[in-house]
Amino acid sequence: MVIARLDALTVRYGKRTAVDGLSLELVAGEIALLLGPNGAGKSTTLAAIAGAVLPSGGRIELDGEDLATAPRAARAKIGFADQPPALYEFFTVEEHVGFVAEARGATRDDALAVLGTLGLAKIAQRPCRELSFGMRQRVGLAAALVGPVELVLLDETLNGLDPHAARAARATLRATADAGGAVLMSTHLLGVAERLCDRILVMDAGKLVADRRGDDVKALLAAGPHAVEDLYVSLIADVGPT
Amino acid sequence: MTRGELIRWSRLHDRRARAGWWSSPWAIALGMGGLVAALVAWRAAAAGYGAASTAWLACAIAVFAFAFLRVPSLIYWRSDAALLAQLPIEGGALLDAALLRCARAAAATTLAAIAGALPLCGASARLYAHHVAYAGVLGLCAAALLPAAATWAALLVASGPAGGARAVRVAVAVASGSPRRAVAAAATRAPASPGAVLGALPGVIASGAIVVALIASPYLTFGATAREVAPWLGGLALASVLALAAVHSPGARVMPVILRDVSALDRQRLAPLEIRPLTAIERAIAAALGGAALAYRKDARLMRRRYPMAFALGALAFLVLAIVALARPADPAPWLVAVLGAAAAYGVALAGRLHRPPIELPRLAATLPIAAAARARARIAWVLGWWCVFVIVPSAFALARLPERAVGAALLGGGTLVVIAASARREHV
Repeated sequence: MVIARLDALTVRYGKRTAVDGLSLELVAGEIALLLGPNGAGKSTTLAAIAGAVLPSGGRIELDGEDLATAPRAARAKIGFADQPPALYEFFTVEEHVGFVAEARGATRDDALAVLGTLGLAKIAQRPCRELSFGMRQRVGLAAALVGPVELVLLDETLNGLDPHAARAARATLRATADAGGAVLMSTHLLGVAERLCDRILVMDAGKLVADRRGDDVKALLAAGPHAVEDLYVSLIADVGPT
Repeated sequence: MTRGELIRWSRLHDRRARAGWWSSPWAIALGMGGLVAALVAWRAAAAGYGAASTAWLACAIAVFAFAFLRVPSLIYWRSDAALLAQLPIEGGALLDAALLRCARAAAATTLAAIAGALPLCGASARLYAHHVAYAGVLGLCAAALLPAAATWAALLVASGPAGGARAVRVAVAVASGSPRRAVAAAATRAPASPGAVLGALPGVIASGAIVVALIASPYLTFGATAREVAPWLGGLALASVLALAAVHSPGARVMPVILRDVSALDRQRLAPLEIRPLTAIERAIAAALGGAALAYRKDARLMRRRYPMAFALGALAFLVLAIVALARPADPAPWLVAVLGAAAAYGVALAGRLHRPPIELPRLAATLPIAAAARARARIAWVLGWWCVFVIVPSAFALARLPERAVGAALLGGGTLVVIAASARREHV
């Protein structure tokens, strides 16, 4: 079942084209990894799907609904962890996640449940402004997951997590996908990604240059410990940020 | 990096940060001076030059109080404090660059006050000269006395809990307005909070300077001779120069430490959060807002935690308006103009804060299923609630008791429209 469909998505910042006619489908149950060099358009793609950036062209559908025409209903089904995570610094962790939960039509109990799953219950009453980098990443992840979310978008969210937190995050993302959701995440931590992904998307200069899924990914991961890195290097020339 | 190079970089950054020529400090000062001059000219035509001088005094005190309060943010409470603290820049260069910023801000404020007094030339050049001299002394305070006080406060914080702890505690207690607390503070050994030191010491000295200036204010309209006010105004000027000279050398030695400590304090956030539930008024407003209730509840909680000063300043406006209503001065217009004008300007500033972090996160808000119109309604409700409680209620009381209602009613109506318009504008992602 297709959860999200991008059709010729284009985002321009002035004269610069950050995302150039990107088309892809994200299906239920999959965790897709978005790779690419700095400046490839990964963050812009995620932000455009989430609604944080206005597309210059193309179309984004969620559950068959066009985001441009039914944005509010669709927003409740999308969870986005921005980079850096956007937190209300003067809210406590529970208040921040509770606010996002309520905005998506969920309850305080849902917020508490997500905090518990990600091991954040102990810091629920701490103000967000007092959190370390890794804690902020985890709270951003909790806010992305809370409520009736079907599509989880993560922008470098697994960076900076300690091993326990990273394990809890991976388990939660897998559970979300297994429950019928989809996850699209950008990261440069290829080792973490290899343990998690069902699909690998590679972007360069705003375009999709590789899309491996299913048996292709299984074969790739079986090929060796650095297979994803090798794929990346073979596709992307080392020319620095674009 | 030398003193000159740092100042050149600092001025380049300030120029880049400006939206255009209209946002330069000199253009803003001239605009402000024009507004004050218009008020002074109107009072001169309507009630004579005595009333015009009173109007100028009210405005001058307001603009210089703002300039005094800004001084710590020109010296160390800056976004680049952490970066500057890490770089190998000599303390003297850091302090001199900061003092130059203070001097330029003080000069711009003095220019506004001097420009605002221009209509008084119509009475006599001597009357204008008195106002210029008075503004000059307040300008000197903004350029020297307050920077010295802020540097002294930072020196105390940088030298640790033992450094002048008793003086700090007393100053903080005096700032709280309680003589009994001040006496108790002098006897106690508990350390003062660094945040309180950095805010309270300059605050106490600014209040003292304003009180001294008010004592000397009869000089403006020849109610006191230059000799009679010399101990006050001359004393302020002399204290400004001496204070700056006294703190310059130790301040230059520890300026990198000051910046490092202040930026570290900033990371620790200076004070614990006071986490309280919504008040009854806020709950009632939220209940009436329907779909905007969630955004309003968020705004109300965050504004209380991040900008508690909004309530203190609102209470001050309430108090002044109530006093004007009870005292029924012969010429209430300058007071109404100054208080309602300042309250409206502050209301616009609060509306601006509701649009940006940490109160609103436009990028996050765009990804949540909350309509932009609901967020705008929540902002209008918050600002209008603040305006009603602190301004409309006491103004209505004042207008009911004062003979001159048209001006006050027009100002109140205009101010209400301005704060609504400021809070209704859309945020940009």
